Amino acid sequence: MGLPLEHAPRRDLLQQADVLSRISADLDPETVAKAQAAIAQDIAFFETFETFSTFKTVTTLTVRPSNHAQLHGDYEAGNLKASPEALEAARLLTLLFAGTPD
Amino acid sequence: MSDKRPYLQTLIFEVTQRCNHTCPHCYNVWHAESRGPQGPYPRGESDTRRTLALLNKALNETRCDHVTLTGGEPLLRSDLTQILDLLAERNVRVTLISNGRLLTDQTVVDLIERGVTLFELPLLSHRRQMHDRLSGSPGAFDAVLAAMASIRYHQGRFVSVFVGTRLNGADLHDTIQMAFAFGASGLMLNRMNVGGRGCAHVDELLPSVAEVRAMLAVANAAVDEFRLGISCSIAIQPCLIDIGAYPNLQFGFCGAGTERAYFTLDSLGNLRPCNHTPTILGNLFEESFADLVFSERMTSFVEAAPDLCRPCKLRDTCRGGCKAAAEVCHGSLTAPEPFLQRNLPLARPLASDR
Repeated sequence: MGLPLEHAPRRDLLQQADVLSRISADLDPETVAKAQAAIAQDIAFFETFETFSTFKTVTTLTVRPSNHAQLHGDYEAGNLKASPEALEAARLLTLLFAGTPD
Repeated sequence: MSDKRPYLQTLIFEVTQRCNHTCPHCYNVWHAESRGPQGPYPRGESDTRRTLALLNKALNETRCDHVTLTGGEPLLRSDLTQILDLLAERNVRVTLISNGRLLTDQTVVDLIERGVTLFELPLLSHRRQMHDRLSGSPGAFDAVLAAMASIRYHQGRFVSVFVGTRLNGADLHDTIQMAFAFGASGLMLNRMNVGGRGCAHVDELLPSVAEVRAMLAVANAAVDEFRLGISCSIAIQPCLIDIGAYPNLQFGFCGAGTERAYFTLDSLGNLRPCNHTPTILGNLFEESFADLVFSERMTSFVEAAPDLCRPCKLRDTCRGGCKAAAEVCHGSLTAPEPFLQRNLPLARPLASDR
């Protein structure tokens, strides 16, 4: 499964979910469920992407690329909130984009 | 040494003339209602071997990295995956125009994996009854919404196409809203362009200037409401409607003779200047792409415009609207096309360039 290249901003996703709930009464329930699942999937991706972007900015500013052990600490020191799963995903993405072995 | 092969922004490839819907506004040139200058349009389609050979020849003889597959309904071709595999091998991006009827979940996954980067799907109304009526097929509405949900779920992209007619114009806002909720990447608002089967439904379907204005106003506001790009690719003559009054919308005009040209190839090898015209430049099985597009027939097509447009300063941009529609309906590329013809009394004079 590929990553959405033109990802809708978060507020669009929330508006889509809202509109979908309002217009769904007369629509096929299976179709609505799939559309809702697609929106949820995009929101989850967005959360991860947002965390990753913040994380990358923080690490670019504060951490030398070779000092992996310190990445978590510096991130947490910034008082930024993210779930452990999103944080791990962001960490892996950072390493992936940096081309640095874990 | 520079590459002298014709550059194509996209090649439109009509893989089949067969269709499982009977849209009353359908402009496909092979319908009996169309009147081409060369007689009835050739019917049929090539087998897999000849179709692949034809596509290879077209790609070899042009600079083209994007193909739009259309029909008819492309998914009625059982060898569509072979066509897609060839295009993937040639590193060609693919847009698929479909009515959505056969886009099951598994088919969507397969098409995305085989390189379809964009789907164009009709959403003609937010009301089931109206969409089905304008598709000529009960069940069309539920099928296309299921296809949209599936495409988005599998991380594909689609744009939604609204053909504006007298019957569904009032549905536009709620239809845009529905397309937005299902995750459309954009929306095409095309006023009905007369051709094909549509020739028999002009009185019933062709919107008036006032109706088109109303649709444009709704669409212009919807861009702000839903932050969804909306383009109008069927020409709207500025002498009939001040398109500058709708700054959120993108307007297109006939691309013939420019880099935006929509050269259209059918699987029998017939090459045309665009998908709306029945004018055949020649057969690609028999001649080279360059010989066909740098031909007298193509020059005549590009230069044709209604006499009444000659003094207009926007003549070279607008070109009188869709000359293919004029050709199909009135048998002449230089006749005013139906939307212009019917509304001539409303045309406001634009400044002359002379």
